[in-house]
Amino acid sequence: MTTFNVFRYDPAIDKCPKMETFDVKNERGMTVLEGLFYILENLDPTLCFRSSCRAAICGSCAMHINGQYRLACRTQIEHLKSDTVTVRPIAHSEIIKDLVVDMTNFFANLEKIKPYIINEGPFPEREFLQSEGERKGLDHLIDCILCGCCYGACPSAGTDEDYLGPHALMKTLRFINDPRDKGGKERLAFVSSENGVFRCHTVFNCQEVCPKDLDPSSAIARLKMKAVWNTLKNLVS
Amino acid sequence: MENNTSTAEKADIPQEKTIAPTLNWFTQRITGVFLAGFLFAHVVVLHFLKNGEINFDRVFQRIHNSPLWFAFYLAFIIMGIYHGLNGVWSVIIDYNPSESARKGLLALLWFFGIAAAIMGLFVLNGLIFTQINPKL
Amino acid sequence: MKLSNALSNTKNDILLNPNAGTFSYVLHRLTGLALAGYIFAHIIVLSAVLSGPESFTQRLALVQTGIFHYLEIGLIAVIFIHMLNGLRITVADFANLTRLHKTLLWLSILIFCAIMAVTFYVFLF
Ligand code: SF4
Ligand code: SF4
Ligand code: FES
Repeated sequence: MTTFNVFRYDPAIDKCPKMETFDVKNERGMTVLEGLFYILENLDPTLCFRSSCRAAICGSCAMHINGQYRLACRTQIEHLKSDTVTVRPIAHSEIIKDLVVDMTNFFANLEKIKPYIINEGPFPEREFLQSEGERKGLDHLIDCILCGCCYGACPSAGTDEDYLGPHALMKTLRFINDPRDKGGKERLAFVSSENGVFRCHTVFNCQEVCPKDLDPSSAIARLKMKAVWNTLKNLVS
Repeated sequence: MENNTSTAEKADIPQEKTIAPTLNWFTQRITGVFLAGFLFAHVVVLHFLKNGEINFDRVFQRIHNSPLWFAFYLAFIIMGIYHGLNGVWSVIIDYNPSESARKGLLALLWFFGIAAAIMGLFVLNGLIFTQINPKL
Repeated sequence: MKLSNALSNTKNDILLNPNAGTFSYVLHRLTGLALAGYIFAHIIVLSAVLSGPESFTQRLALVQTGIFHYLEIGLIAVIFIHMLNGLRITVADFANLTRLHKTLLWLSILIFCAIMAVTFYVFLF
């Protein structure tokens, strides 16, 4: 038996959020997501949470589990080494119900950085070609599943909804580093504005929580250095 | 929170708007590194090696008419005040003050910074270039 | 975002992310604000020199006796927490050592302990 402490809140009915306790029959290898499904099916059909792939690919099931943001489908209850599992929604987003939050702002911030190739001149006759090596160099920036763990864990995202967030900043470096993209200057200028990289206070929470073991803080560090040299160069010339 | 923001308009930031945040961040690091050295020297000299009470005579003997110490403390004072107030400013903008609050707070920080710098220079002048010889 | 919301988010973020980075972030901000205030106090104390060497010596004697002597240990701790953490994040950003941030943190803690050992030795013996 494992005790689940689950965050419950329905803005339409409840005045304030509360934690509800459920006893979940725990089997070997069971994930937190399966625990939530157990509650949904056997104990309380009104529980709300998101999930889809159950294989750490879609990024739907990110939540705060026992002291850290994780993917529920990827976290085995056993591995938490605790009799209780405490589950909360991702911070910095409005709660729609229980563990489901409104990710509009998260994706709006991603949109702001133009997450697509900016082209200059005529389009190539067929597709944009990219060598295997060029693609490999982007691997550590491209694997993001947009789960929102880093955004929830980032204290700078907590004080300002316009702060682009680790996910969007890492995506910016992904395009700056892509040899096919021609928007580097414009991208750098955009992330050097007040809500960009310099809002990051190097807390490393994003690296700490990323379920894909990516390192947004490193991408941000690189962007900071690029932005500084770019600005200095512009000032001198 | 806005929905459906048009990305094309949002993404274009004029170059001037990027200068202040970038330089604030960069100068904060640079002055920070310098201050680390200055402050280490300062703490070692005035706290670890002090050997008895610090008084006017001792400070005077150490730094009187020394252009080197003057340069050291001049840089120390200016960078210290800048680093401190720039840091406070970065905490302030983290909490999104309104446009008017921002102007007011910035003016306040400048006022305190300049006042402290002038005061600091007077103190420095008093300690280094003062003509009173304490031995007499 | 409203200030009250931002502040409560900050509080929750600290509680929900008990990582090394969060602790150093909080310490860095608090020590930074404290030191910014201290600069002003320091200049005001030393400004006694403007009324002559005697008053400077008197004022300095005042801030070196009794409780002030022990408060200085705290001051040195605050200075070095801020300095070492500042150097740590600067190095992490400039040299892109973000993956090593915990090693760097342990290194700064080690240096901090050494400095504090010297401080206690100098101040108490
Ligand atoms: S960077 Fe990692 S934590 Fe952040 S959204 Fe992408 S996969 Fe999730
Ligand atoms: S390193 Fe920067 S982006 Fe990452 S969590 Fe910390 S403040 Fe946010
Ligand atoms: S359900 Fe898709 S990542 Fe967990």
